[in-house]
Amino acid sequence: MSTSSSTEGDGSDGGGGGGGGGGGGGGEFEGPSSSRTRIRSSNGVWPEPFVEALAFQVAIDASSSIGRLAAAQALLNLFQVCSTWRAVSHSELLWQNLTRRIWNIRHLLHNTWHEEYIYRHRTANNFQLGRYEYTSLPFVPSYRNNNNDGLLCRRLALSNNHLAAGFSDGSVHLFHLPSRIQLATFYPEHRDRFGRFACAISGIILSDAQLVFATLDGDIHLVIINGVNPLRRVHLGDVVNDGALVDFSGCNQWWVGLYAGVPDRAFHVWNSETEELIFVGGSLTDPEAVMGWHMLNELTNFIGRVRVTSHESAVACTNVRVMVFDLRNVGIILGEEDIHRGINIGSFDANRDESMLIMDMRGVARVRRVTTLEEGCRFTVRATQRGILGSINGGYALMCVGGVIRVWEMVHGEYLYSFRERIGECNAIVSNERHVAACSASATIHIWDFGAN
Amino acid sequence: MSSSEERKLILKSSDNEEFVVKESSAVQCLTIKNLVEDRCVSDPIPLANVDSKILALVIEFMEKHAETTLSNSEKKEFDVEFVKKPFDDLLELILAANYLDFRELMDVLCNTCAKQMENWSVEEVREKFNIQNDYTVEEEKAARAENPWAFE
Repeated sequence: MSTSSSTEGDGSDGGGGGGGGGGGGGGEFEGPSSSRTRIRSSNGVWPEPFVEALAFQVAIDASSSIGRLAAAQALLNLFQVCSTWRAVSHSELLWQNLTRRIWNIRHLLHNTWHEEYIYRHRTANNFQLGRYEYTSLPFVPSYRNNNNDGLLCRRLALSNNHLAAGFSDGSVHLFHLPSRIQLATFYPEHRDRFGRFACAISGIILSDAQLVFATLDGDIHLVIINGVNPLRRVHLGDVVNDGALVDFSGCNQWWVGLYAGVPDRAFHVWNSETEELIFVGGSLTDPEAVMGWHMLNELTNFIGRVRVTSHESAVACTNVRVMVFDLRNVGIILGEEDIHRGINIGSFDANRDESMLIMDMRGVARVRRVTTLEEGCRFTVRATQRGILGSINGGYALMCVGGVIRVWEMVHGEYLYSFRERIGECNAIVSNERHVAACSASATIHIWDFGAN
Repeated sequence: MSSSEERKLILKSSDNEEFVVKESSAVQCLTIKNLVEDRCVSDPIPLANVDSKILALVIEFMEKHAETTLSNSEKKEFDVEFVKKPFDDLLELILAANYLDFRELMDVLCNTCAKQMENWSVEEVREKFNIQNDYTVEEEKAARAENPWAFE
């Protein structure tokens, strides 16, 4: 809805025609009758369930066609119609449904769903306008580095209140975002390792309740944040039979590992609640088998990536192929495609909302629906291809190019702005609806906070 | 149960026209379903708030959506054609769907209305829905100023 006049509409006012109507269902239906008196509608009183359903749909339509930020204006224009329609704005159920649908938020962080919606809107608006607070985290690097290898940040992960950074020496550092305090440092359990970088971090799954991380040799460790029990290994990797675990992702229901080195064992899927391995299979990374083994001794470029969406599907890519598979019916491939221009793996990412970002080797980035592979928008990243890292949240795509982070909106692919801070060579980047975090070569962790005050 | 044995209900519109429908179709309307389950079905069932023209359309919709042989995409195709009606008729159907508590029809109509309203001004919405603006000038200004976050 807009506040300007429009000639759109059904054009049916004052239409002619007979009464029509029939019996027994069906029959001929003519246009509106000029003699028909709008008895019920003439008093202008509309059922509240209808007005609430209409408000919901108007907001969703605006969000889909224009962008998430447009939903609020469409909604508030509807509430301007009359005081009765405005009363629908007091419906917590309406705001809850809208927050779930538009912002993909299912857990209330504020006092009411109305407040939650406003917070999400304003935070997204801060992303749109480039309004943020920048900080770098005081970080104490670990020294468990018997080979004197440089410390390389391999993975970053964000939750509402925490950030985790995983490094090439196997260390995972956990930070509390509101206070910027480093809470703890974790290391994988000691054991014999196959290769210098066998304990390098290959994936982190972080919530405010627990931290799960995986290493290149396939070990998976879990710790409850603020819990009393220490870190424990929940899965012992088997490099000989599985290959190297090159990426690891998940959600509160599933963990998914992407392996390279042994044919037909590219994907491992666990039930995260029972920690049970429920699937092994897939050939996505078979062409990269040798590179997978090399990674254990020499951290090469990315071999592949895997991401898990909130719709119980996983999407993975190598440098030439993308594949989507169902997690509810594990093993069922929902879609796959060869990308003839190649895929810049470092810039590949997917969000919980079922969108993924794929940039080809010519610098054309596409936002596509995970389940259908349908393209939503595209934009061009004008830069040499080496070392570009990407990340997406619900509405924005971020690309780190030459130490500069650039932002595009994901409805139309419009370039918005670049972060003011130059961070140098970037090893990892991650984003959620409020924060962006990146780790530069100096092991400095940079945080940009877009949260609404 | 064969189709010939299937239970039928008689619905009577506000202008006293009677329609015979399958019970299995009619119970998509919770108002009717509650009558059936509570064994309060009279013969015919009077629907005082729905005239014959609109009731015929409602029945067309309910019978199509009750067909088990139709796929979801076929039902959606039907819906697309069904809502190609003058806006006044859609409004009457909304009132009927609300009265009958026919959720599926209400959802389709809401979606249709929302799409048609995409570029409407507040004044146009009032006109189409026959709504009197009950705000004073001051109240209207205050209502606009209440949510600055949406217009930042």
